[in-house]
Amino acid sequence: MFNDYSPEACGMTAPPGGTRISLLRVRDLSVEFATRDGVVRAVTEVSFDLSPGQVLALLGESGSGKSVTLRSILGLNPPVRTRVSGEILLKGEDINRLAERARQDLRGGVVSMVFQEPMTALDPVYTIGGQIEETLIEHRGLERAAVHRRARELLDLVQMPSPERCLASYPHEISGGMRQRAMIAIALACEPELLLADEPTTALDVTVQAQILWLLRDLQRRLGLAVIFVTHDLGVAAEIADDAAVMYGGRIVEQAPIRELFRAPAHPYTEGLMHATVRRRQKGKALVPIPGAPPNLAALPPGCAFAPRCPHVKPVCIEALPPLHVVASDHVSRCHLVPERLASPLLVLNKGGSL
Amino acid sequence: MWRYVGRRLVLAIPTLLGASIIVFAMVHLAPGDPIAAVLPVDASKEQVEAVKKAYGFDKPLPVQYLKWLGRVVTGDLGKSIATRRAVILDVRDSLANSLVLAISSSVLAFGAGIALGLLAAFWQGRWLDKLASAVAVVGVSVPHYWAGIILIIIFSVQLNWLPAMGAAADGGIVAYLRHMTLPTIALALIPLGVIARVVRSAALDILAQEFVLALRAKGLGHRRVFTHVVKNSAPQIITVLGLQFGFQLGGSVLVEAVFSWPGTGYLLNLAIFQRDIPVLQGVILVLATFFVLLNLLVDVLQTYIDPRIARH
Ligand SMILES: Nc1ncnc2c1ncn2[C@@H]1O[C@H](COP(=O)(O)OP(=O)(O)OP(=O)(O)O)[C@@H](O)[C@H]1O
Ligand SMILES: [Mg+2]
Repeated sequence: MFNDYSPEACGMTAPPGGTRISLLRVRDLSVEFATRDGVVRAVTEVSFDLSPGQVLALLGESGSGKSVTLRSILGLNPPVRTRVSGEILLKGEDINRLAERARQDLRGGVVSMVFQEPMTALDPVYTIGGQIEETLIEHRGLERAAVHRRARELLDLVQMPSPERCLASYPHEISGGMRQRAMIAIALACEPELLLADEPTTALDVTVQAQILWLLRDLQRRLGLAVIFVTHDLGVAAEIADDAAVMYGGRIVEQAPIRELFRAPAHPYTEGLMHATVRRRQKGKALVPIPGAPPNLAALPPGCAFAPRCPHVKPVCIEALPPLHVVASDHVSRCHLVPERLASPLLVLNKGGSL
Repeated sequence: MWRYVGRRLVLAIPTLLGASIIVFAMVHLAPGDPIAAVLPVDASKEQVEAVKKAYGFDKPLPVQYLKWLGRVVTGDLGKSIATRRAVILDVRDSLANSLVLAISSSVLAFGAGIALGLLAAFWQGRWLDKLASAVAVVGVSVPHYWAGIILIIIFSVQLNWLPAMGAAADGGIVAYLRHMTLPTIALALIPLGVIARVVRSAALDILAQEFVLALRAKGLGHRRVFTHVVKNSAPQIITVLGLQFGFQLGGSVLVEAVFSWPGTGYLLNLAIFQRDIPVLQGVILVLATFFVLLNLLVDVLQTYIDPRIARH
């Protein structure tokens, strides 16, 4: 799935082994913002595919370009001082080339988004019911009674406590967990095939986090949703995702099925992330934060963006951008050291150590 | 909701009483004999007696104040020193004229200001925004009496399209409208600029919020998103509209003088120069009452639009 980066595969020919059709196909997506401090390269040459029902975790620390990637899929980058290049094919249609009207039909209809902070992502002066219903009216043009019935159904779907009262409530009148359920109900209103979830549990209480995560996983399975799930939390990613893509400095530096990624991380940054995260069966072990600071996106180095923080750095890392190495089928890593470390028994040891 | 309105009404009473005390004190602050301050120099003995009785000048001040307040509440504001007409009549006529100008200039300023502000916000950073901002800056920085004089020079003197003076109260509706036009424009400039700027920044605040992205992400069209933004910025916009309308009612002394428009500003101006204290008292009291009621209306409208406000 993730190893079809050869020019042939990126062209018109079907991807290798591909009876799986792409729901979303991102190719060489780059997003640049012109700011006072120079051109911020928030996303650089990002490529990946997503098939129906597939769950991809997008990992990476703050500022690595995860949210910008999601916004690009919706075609919702700021209209001025922004340069977007590359292709984003949603069911075969390039969102960057579509007319605004057609994009509006895709948003909410084919792809929707759930945000990190439901308090700020819901309109404070509209009721929950009003916000669900307007989505239905925009896309479906249903009549009042039908719209209301559907809104009620949606609240049942997201297991909202006292749904009837919730429909008439304003966002500030309900709890954080209920707000996030409402947000999910809005996102699912018009039966999208792809859900973009931007850290949907980060802003919630720990117990509520787990509930929302289970709800999302349950809905994903029942509705056969494809999901891109942005998170800092590897544990959360392991719960919900089939595959993972790790972003650093606006690039995807490693992509693999999630188990493979945990079993054999092939990028020093991914290894660092794992050391910096508490994992289920090793709570006692000390966390090792990754030393150094994230790169300045307005002045990215010519070589590997992680080189200044990398414990294994070599001269070549500073000079040249690492190519995408195939580690295993479905597993790629953008690191100069992959061939060397793959061949060396040290890597095996290292893998054992990091698990 | 109604309890809130009731509470606000009760809270407005002390404000109004405060204003009335200041207005009452004017009689005693004016230099010389308080009787002389409220009566013409050639007043008859009976008049002097009547005023003495009404104000109770021999009684302690609080008693005098209560007596006077009792009369004011029933609409008796005394007689003008200059015209000897009942002050309430002068105030009523001038208030009607000012109200007409205040409303016409507010309609113009609100409409144009809100439109400019919203356009500027939605096209932030593009030429439309820059144009709107330029108009707004000119609006707030040009003194309105000066703008009035320029308007007179261009449209009355040079082009001879519109009259420059008076209200033509007896000349029929068309003449009245023609007389209104220039003062309306002159009065609209400042609030237009202020409103355009406030609306722009209010709408930009809202546009920067995440829920606007969320609205777009669920596929809403421009018109629906626009409605959300307007509804969210409405409380801020209404605040500035209320304030500006209040200024329009009271703040037109100079423009009314330039255009000889017989409104409250013109009356105030006359009263000051003629030391006509009763008229001064009447105008100020009525304007203050208007201001308080307007603020009340604004607050009530805000709570109606934004359910979060009533809770605080
Ligand atoms: N409109 C914009 N103008 C300028 N810079 C922007 C803009 N939007 C995002 N950026 C920058 O792009 C970079 C990537 O941002 P993004 O929000 O995608 O990060 P993220 O990976 O989602 O981080 P987080 O985990 O904190 O949400 C950041 O450095 C951010 O400052
Ligand atoms: Mg983010």
